[in-house]
Amino acid sequence: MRMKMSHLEISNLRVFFPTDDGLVKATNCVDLQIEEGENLGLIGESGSGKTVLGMAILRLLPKDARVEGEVKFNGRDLLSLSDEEMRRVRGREIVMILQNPTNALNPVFTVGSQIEEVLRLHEGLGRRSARKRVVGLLKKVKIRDASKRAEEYPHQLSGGMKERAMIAMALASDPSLIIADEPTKGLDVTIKREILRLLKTMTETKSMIFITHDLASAADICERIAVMYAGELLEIARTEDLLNDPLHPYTKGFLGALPSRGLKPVRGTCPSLIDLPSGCKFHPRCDHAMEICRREHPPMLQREDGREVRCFLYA
Amino acid sequence: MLAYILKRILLITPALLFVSIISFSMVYLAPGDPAEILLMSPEGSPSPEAIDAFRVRMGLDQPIYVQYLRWLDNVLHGDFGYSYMSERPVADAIMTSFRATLKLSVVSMIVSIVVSIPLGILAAMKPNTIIDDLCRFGALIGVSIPNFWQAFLLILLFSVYLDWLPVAGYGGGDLDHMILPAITLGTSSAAVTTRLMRSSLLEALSQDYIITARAKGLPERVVIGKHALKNALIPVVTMLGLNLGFLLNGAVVTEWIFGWPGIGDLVVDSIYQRDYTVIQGSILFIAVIFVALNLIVDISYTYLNPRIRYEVVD
Amino acid sequence: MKSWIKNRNILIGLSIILVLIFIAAFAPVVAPHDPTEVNSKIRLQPPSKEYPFGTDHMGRCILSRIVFGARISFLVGVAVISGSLLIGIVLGTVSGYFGGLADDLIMRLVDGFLAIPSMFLALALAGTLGPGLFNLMMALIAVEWTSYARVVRGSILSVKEQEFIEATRGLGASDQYILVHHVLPNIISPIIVIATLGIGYAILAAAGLSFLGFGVQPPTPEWGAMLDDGRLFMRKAPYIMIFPGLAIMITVLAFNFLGDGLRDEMDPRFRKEIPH
Repeated sequence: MRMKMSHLEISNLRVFFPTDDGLVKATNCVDLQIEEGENLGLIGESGSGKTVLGMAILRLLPKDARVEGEVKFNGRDLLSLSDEEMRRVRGREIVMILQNPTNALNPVFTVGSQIEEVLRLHEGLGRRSARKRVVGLLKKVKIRDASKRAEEYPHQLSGGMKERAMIAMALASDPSLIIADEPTKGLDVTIKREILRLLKTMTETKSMIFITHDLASAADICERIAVMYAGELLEIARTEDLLNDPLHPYTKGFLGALPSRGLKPVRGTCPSLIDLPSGCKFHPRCDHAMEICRREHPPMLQREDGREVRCFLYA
Repeated sequence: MLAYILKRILLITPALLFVSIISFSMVYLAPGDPAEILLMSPEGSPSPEAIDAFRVRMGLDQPIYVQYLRWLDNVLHGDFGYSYMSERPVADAIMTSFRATLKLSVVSMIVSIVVSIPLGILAAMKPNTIIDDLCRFGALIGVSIPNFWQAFLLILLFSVYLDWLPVAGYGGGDLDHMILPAITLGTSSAAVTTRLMRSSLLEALSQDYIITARAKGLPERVVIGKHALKNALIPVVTMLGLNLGFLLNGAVVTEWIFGWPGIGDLVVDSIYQRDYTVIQGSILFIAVIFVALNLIVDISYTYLNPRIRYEVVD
Repeated sequence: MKSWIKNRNILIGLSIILVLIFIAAFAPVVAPHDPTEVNSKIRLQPPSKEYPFGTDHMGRCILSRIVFGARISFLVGVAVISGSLLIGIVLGTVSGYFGGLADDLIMRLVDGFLAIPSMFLALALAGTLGPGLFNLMMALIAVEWTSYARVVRGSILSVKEQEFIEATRGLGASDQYILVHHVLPNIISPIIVIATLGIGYAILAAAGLSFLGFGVQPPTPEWGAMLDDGRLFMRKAPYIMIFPGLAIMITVLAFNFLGDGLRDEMDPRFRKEIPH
């Protein structure tokens, strides 16, 4: 029985895309809660649906995507809001930092002006005050020569700097929930560490969903971790619990594939989101698969210790 | 930037040389002796002495390469020779007619832009709907319709039946005389630009930075009107230069039909009259203009695209 | 292959072209009258049951002339493209294969031809070569060949650069083998698209030049020339010029539909990107 209302509460979220090759079931029966100030890591391989989930929360998916279920933010169901109401939530209360800042930033506008846009939109600032704030934000994310950088175009910045700029853009309107999609992808190790540290400090009082395939990074700054596979959440637990005592066979395999743990990959490949396996989505690759795993779809089990796992092994 | 421009100019010089050779030698493809043909009159064939005198006067008795070199040398000094027919300087005729063509081209471009950009945007905003299909079909008609036929239909409607506009002529270059030819030229150019605007905007709208713009909470009209459009317009604007070249092609027949004394009309007339020096000069001139236009297109594309304009810092 | 049949552009274009080819091939049967039969007693008649498109200033049946005109248009279109293909492929191959001075010369020549706006070039050539269908075709070939030369040369150059060519040579493959097996498949798609659109352009340009008086000579029933005939009678008998123009437009439209459709099919299809 929850006493306090969750910051974000996702119930039975299903997302479908019609394509030329068939119906893509990008997410299926996703239930997830995030508390105020909590950092949640959303882990999964490419094609697991984690980015779709992030975008679905902010209703950023293309027009022909079908999104069903509930996404309650501070008690309000975002999916039932009008377009105009949703627009007011975006960039202000909830922000999303898209993958790959090279593509996510508009190449024909300066970095500064793109951040300015947020301030002028949500706080109604004039050009001069907005510009000052922008430089301040860039300094906060540790970009050197902030005032010079603000006048530059995205392609003039390095990968790490672009990521910082994206973070600055996200923080500009002081949102309470940040969805960060692969913020450290493609960056080299030292920069990666700095970005992670930056994110940790910046989200101290905010909630964050940290989407990544890099479990180590997520473990570094997240209190809880949710494991996603083929559009479903397979396991949700506190970070230490997940790392020390993984429950789901997929999680175990995922951990085993880490360099620090032996670099042993899980056999097989991710299923196509059009032609999903029957029953438990992971059963074709699972060493512990039982007959029931093929026939029936395992529900998410809520254990007494608070952990959640979707696997018949624990039924 | 400057080095880039100079390099490009250097690269096209040999091509221009070839152009001059092509322009010059083209007239030698013609059957018959130019002198004899030009001197032909109702009284009968010219006498051999008259032919010889004419040839000497026009320098036609020299070997071809000598004639070419002399011609080229003159051209580089701005002397395009004299018209066989009128004995007036070719350069004058070219400049006067080019000015007329320029006037018409500007108005045609305006017509083209006013039609194509909004239509292209409209088609991209509602892809795969009836409106999109109509725009694309219209564009296809625009490139398939013979401009001389289109010109006649316009003349038939507006001049003959409705009697709103004059049929043909220059009329001192006033708007009345420019409208119909400008519409004819403008619509074929618009057909090409509409398709470009549409595909360019669709391309821009599929980019990630559009999602970022929406994620920031920007209203849709800003997302499309500012973020998408600024990117989408870059290829369209640079293509405007190429459109001008496209317009030049259409000008040949269009100017002739409407009696608009532009350079297309000049070329057609000079070919009818076998006025070889005019043909040589105007072909060379129009080629140089065309090449210059293409060069401007290239340079402006490099300039307008910030990604190419500046160096990358990493 | 399946998607080709479903492609609307290809369907529309191809059907119209097939109908036109049928009309052209069976012209003597399709046409109600002799296209060159002059009859001054029935000049400038509006469309009627006997003469569905009316008669022109010499009393000839316009519909019949249009039907036979289809033959001329197709002849011109195919001949021009074939000639351009031939010259373009030969020069492009020489240019790409031998490289060096030959390549430089040929490419400068291409640039030279391309520097002159196509209509001006074709007009000047057709005008100076003299009247006649053959000269008209020569003029248009001079305009069209450059596109094919570039495509072929580009393909040869890119194949040359690929590393596995060295390996293939090491296995004893001759240059002819490489040309046939590697270059040829590369150029087929773009050339088909360029050729299809090129036929449409050739027909349009030929009509324009004939309209100006270059190219076909009377009494040959060419669509562009028919429009020229109709000029003087624009007021009294507009149908003389309406129908031939319509014929030109529909034909060129068909080739443009087909060319567009083929180009869409040959380009790597844009799959919908699902974020993941």
